[in-house]
Amino acid sequence: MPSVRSPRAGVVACLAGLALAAAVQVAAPLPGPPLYDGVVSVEPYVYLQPSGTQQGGALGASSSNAVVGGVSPAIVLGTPEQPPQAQLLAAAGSLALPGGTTRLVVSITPVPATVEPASGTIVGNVYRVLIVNQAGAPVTGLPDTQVTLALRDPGSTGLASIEHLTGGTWQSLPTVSAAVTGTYETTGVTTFGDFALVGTPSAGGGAGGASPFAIITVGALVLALAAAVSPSVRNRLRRNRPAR
Amino acid sequence: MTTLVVPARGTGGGIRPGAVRRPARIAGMLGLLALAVFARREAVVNGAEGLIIGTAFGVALVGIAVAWGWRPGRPTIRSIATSGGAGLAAAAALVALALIGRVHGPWVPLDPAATLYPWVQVTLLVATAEELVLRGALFDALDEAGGLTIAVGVTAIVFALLHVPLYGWQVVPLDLGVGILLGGLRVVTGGVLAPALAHGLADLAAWWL
Repeated sequence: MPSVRSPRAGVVACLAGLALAAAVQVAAPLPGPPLYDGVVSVEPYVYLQPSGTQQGGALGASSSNAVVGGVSPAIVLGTPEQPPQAQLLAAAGSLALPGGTTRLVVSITPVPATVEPASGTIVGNVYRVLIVNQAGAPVTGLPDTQVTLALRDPGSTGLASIEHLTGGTWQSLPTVSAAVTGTYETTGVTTFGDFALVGTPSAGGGAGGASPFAIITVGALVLALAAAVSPSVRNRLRRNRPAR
Repeated sequence: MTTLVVPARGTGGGIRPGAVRRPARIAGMLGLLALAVFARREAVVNGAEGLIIGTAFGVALVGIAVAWGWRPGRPTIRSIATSGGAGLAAAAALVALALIGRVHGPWVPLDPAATLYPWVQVTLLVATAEELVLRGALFDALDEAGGLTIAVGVTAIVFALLHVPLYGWQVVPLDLGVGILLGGLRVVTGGVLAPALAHGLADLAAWWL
């Protein structure tokens, strides 16, 4: 069998991948360089109103999304930090559109906290998440659909929940720890407005500092596990087993 | 670099056929990959130094690829030239994509500081290691199990998901496209040199973009 079996199929895949990536970058460009990977880089949390040693410069994000066929499009929007400090994800068809909607404008904006929650302390920024149509009419999420809001934890907060400012008071939302590093998310958001992560900040407000030894140990564990269950090792063991 | 050119099945490199049942092999590889990604996430959450995390992650991925059957093939000058050319062209395309999305601001000049060189080494290690696992061992296993389309598609999905824990869901569409491109390079050239070159150079470009 030749080492290159389907060059034409490969070229088609290259072009398709490039076209998809280019379309994504044109439609909703990432605020930083494309992140294929590399050295892990987690930027410090930035605040709208920093105090003490906290860094300022929190930014918002917005996008404009065309509505085709009367169905809300899939929306993925995050603030420009790495990882994003606030993200909104909505599956296609998960928003209730006012009549005549042709375009949705989505925005995530850090805003000053005006009310303190009763259940704890706001950690990080309050983010105002809004979705409006081209006429400025507010859009809401449909019940039982996948509209997810994710907020990044500025430090090692521990237990925290996302809360929504409703009628002048903070209401706790069902919150889970998300896949994204140090981030919490809530799914099933139907109304938008001001959201914040509420919890008890750690004394240091930062990471604990894992030792290189711990990292190397984890790496060695992965390697050992890989070797233990790898087909080549199992085959060798099988070959060395004495015949009965 | 030449050791990265991997002939496809039956040409002296890649996975040895019949080692274990294919689904178990694929599931095992994905499980180990998930474990490595989880370990990296935990290390980041706990504030470990980025270069150490990158080195450990890269070494772990190389270990997974080798343990699960990836072997370097015997490259020819022609295959190296083809893979190198294709890899450079793809890298240029990826850098162009980065420029499309770039937030306009001051260009960061070349930094001759010592921090650049370890960063370059670790970035190349991680990019190459990801390609050895995804477009090397996993690609071969999926190709054997379901053909090239499955191999390109699934490795692109895994590639995109791999980045979610650190960079968020918003990178998934872009990385899915880039993953398909890198998978196409693997198909065109028959080895992992071209995708590794494109991936590594695109990551390095991030220093200046």
